[in-house]
Amino acid sequence: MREQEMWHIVWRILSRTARQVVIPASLGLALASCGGRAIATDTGTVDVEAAETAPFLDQDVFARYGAPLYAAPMYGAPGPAPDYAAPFPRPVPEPDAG
Amino acid sequence: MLELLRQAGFSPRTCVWELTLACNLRCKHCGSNAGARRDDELNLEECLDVADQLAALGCQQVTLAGGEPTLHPAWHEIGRRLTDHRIRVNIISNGWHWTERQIEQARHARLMGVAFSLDGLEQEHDSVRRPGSYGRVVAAIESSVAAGLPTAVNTTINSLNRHSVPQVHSFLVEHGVFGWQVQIGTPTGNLAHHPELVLPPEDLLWLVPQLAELRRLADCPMKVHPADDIGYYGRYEQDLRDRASVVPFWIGCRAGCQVVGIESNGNVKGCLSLPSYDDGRFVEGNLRQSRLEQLWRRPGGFAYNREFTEEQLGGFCAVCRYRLFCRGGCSWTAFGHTGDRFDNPYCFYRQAVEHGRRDLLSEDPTAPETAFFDRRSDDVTAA
Repeated sequence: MREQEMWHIVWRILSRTARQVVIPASLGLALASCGGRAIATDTGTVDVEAAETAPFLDQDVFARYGAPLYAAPMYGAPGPAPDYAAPFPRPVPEPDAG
Repeated sequence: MLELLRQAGFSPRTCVWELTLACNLRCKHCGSNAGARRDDELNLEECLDVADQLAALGCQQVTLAGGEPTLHPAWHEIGRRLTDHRIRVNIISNGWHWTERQIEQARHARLMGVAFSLDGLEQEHDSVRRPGSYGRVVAAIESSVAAGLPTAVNTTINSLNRHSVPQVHSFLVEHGVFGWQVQIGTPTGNLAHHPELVLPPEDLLWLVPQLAELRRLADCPMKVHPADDIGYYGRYEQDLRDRASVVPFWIGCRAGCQVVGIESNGNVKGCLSLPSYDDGRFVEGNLRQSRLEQLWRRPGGFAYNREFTEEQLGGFCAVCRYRLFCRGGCSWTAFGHTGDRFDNPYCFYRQAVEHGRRDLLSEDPTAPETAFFDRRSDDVTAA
């Protein structure tokens, strides 16, 4: 995964609530160039309100990661709560990474 | 990426709880010098209260650890209290004394799984743990699988067992293990006295691709989980993470942000692995003096992660292109190897850049990154 793709994902998440998102200056300019609109400043600050209408985001990337955010821990959904009434073996919830 | 954690909210979703420091083994790589129990370990009433506090703070998963947690006489009662709160609970045992009684206790506690420590093939395992311990842990794995307990294994990679990763993987699959966590040893505790066992950082250049390959095995019923001290970035980053996650890449240490560690005497840390000795900088307080919520919400608490700034980074981490995502990787690994929480040589990307392995990267290194090693090479030559 390339750095810019990672920033896209971060941007997608943070821009839902943050007023501004600070990203590396050089990368900000690269993001802006995707949509042809200078929404990233050379200080690395992207104005969220201005960016909301800018088509610079890679929609293919976000289509892949467009699931509801933070309904689950960072590294995957917690899985169903154990069914305590069920005998062993019971369904194994997805363990957290790490 | 601290902002992602901040937006999600600092909450102790995951807890690793050392029920006792008592242990019936003296492993050469034990990071906590386990052996004798602490003089001031929490009693059962205090432990049950801690369980209630964890639930009140929204904890979702607890790992019962040690020492050897089954040496705590009421480990299953504590586990049961946690699961009564609908917290998912598992336990990590060395398997030395795992009998039908412990299996029944695990059932009573309604554990979602048990994990055993297996550190390689027989000779490798016994040489770092105790003669005969391999046979016992394998028997524990077999009896747990046979009893229908979801059974996992943890393995610490060291210089002895590093060539056995594929064999151990096959062995565990054959034995019906459902999950395998792989980690590397950090020279704290007993391992600080056995430097010959410590995996050199450049070994990540083969370990990471190997784990990535094992994780890609589509028809394998066992999932491989690299621990937080293995990574980061480069060509295999997504292979190491859960691709279905909304953030399918490493976003840095979560100690004190989404993870909490509790020692058997009530000391609270962001991660149980972080050292308590020296100046105690990683100990946030004690549960005999403060409620967990007070410690968790204390302004200035867990500052090494919650109040991270880019300027704190040192060494290669300070110039790395992924520095704002990663924040120096695993806190314990960085501190254990360099004494600096924010300078971590145990990084796949760093090692690939240092050794000119562009074939292992997903994009070319930046000029400051290559200059870092060129400059260091010049310094060595001049000296």
